[in-house]
Amino acid sequence: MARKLLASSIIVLALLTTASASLTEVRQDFLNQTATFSSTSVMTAPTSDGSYLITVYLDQPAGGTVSATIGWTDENGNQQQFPVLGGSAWFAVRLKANTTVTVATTGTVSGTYNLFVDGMGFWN
Amino acid sequence: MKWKRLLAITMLLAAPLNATARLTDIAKDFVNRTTIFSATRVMAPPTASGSYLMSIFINQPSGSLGTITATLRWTDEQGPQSKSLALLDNGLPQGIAFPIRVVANTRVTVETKGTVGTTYDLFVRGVGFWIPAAGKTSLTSYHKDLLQWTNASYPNLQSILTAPSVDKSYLVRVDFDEVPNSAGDVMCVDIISTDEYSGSQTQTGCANPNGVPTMMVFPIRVKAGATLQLMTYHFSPPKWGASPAYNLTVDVIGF
Repeated sequence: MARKLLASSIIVLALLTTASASLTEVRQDFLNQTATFSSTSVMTAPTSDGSYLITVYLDQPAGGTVSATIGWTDENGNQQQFPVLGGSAWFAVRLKANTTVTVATTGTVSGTYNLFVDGMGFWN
Repeated sequence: MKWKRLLAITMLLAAPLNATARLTDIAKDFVNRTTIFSATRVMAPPTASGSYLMSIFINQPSGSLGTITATLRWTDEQGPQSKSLALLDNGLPQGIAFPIRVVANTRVTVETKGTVGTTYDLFVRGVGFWIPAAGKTSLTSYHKDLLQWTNASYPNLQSILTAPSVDKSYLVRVDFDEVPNSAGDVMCVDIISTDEYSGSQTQTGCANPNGVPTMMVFPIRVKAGATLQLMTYHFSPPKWGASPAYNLTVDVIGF
């Protein structure tokens, strides 16, 4: 009986692993920034072309004019760049193997600002 | 000895679950509502400030149609924030996805206002990033990739997933790009589903011949047993036939 229970547990865990192992996480927080910064990687480069959903959330006091630029190289080798002019945005990214998603900021900092880059990688 | 081996296998299989346990899901349903409602919490206040990708989906049965606006409210490091979505009396469901930041120990709420027809449904779904043990981790994902394709799939539908025996909420991510070309041939994709009121829903995106990706993220509801499908086609007739090389990736999170 105990043996059957253990075998069942293995099967259930194997199924769960299959379902959840295909999502990975991306996270890079830039907290209490007092200056803008140049292009910075937000993740480890995947070893094969990958699909990602990346979110950017820019958090700054009223009067701040900081904007972010997110960039990556797609599977065709094309450089992609998109601005985030305040607030938030999401990006459906196709990323070429051995390259990464980067973020940079420009503008005038009022006090401090926070920039959060989060996301998920989808894997077969 | 066999027991020890089985136990070791069990622990090995359990390990990857821990590796992804920091993604949590938020699910709050307001089904068959006959009245508007005031600010209602959609998740437990996080114990640490956190990042989320949230979505709102509103729908109503055909017949007497209402006009409802749902507003999600949260507090980020700068103070209160909100995002609204309006369901009009045209019979079309509405969905939106957006990232939010939630300061520790603050509430995320949703409220509705407007005029109710007969009933309406509101689904709030989200993914929380990196808050261990703050919620359940039953997220599943599905994929359909057409990589380096050189033909329209029209008139054939490609299946992405089939909903189980209950109506389900999904968040769909689409990335569609053409290998840069001078042919000026614009390829489009329809993402087709059937919602719980048996209405056929289609989201359309078209790729750019200049190689800039077309990106879409949107929530959907899929009727029990119904299929989520896609079809690519030429924007300019005929819809079928050879095309510039394109990459289409569709990823779906099931809640």
